[in-house]
Amino acid sequence: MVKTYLPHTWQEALFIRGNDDTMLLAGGTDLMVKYHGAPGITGNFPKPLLFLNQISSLKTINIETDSITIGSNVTLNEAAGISALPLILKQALGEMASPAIRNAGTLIGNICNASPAGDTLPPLYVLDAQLTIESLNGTRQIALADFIQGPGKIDLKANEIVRCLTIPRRNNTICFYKKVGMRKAAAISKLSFAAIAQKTDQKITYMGVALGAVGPTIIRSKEAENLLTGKIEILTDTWETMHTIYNSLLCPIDDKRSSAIYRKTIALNLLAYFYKEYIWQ
Amino acid sequence: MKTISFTLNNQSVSIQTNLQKRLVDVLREDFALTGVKEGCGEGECGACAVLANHKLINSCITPIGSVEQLDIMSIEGFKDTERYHILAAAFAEAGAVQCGFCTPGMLLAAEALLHVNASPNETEIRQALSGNLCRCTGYSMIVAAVKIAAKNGDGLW
Repeated sequence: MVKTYLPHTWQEALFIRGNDDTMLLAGGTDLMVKYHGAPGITGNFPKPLLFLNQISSLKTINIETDSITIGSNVTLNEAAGISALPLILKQALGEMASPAIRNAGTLIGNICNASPAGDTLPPLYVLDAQLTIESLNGTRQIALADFIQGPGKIDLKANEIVRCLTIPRRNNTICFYKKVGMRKAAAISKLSFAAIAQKTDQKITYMGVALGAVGPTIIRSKEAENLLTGKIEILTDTWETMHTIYNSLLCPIDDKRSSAIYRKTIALNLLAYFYKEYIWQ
Repeated sequence: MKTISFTLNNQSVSIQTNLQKRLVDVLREDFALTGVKEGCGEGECGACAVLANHKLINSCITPIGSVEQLDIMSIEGFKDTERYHILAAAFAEAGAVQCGFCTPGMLLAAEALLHVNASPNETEIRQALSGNLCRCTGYSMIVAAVKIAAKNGDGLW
């Protein structure tokens, strides 16, 4: 059995983090599955556990005119209840896991788990979400796309804790989210697709497309998005160019949930559907 | 070992325990609350569901360290309420119980729903029960039971 810490303040947590190599636990809905023991037997965690649940300052939700900030103890259901939350994220949260898991699991926990199939990740990528990370040495900000480096791999040092997530608020006129799974509830995605755009007078002023579970991290291509952003007229060969870009970027794997060929085919079909229904009109 | 204090079925309790220990094990072994069932042990089936501050959680993936200062209600505490009796009668009327293993979790999922939405429609009921598996009934009778309870218990929630 590993050592456990249950700090009551943020400063206390940072101090523990600075002095011991710990594993952070907020909701625990992923970690308890990963490291659980048999009934009645305590789990087998690889490192001392630092519980974050008693730190009330991490429950903070701040809604500003241009951004929303969500603390590390905010659960998936609490986040889904934020009225100003962008629709693309609200849709993903609504289809994610099950009510009981959404009541315990946290939004930032889903990020830090860094699964290629993490359901909140494609929406957060297109929303250009940023993380605030703190240690006893100071604070830094990092874009979500830079924070996640690979399956289960994040840019978080042993002395750091993610304090909050900031989502810029934009007036997205287009929003398309699709999760493909075995069943509606409590299913891990085979793949997922999130796209948002701002379109005024036939001109796209902002666009974000992100695909989940079709590569080691979420796939987003600024090159493909720039083919459409700011253009008054969409060229007829744009779709072919976009298709070529995504076709070369998507690199799914075969696993117990799906096959690489299925994932790639459906992802490109969803891209084509999005392009036809929302962009090329 | 650390001391964890929380409210369990309306009583303040404290326990000396390892914080990694699962809530389902604490409830069943330390408090002998065996109405809390362990099914899958990984948060998929909802048989171990309890209420934490009136919200449904899976006790099999909740470490006891996360329970500090929470208000936990298991089926044993809920059965003393009038709402339980309305729900239990509705489950019996609709034939929503066969083997009974999922029933404590189902009842608490129904209670969690009715607590925030006293007259849910079918979609809302199915969504609220979506994390609770039943291998006997095929779900339709359970959905019907929640509808009956919402009608018969009008004003209680």
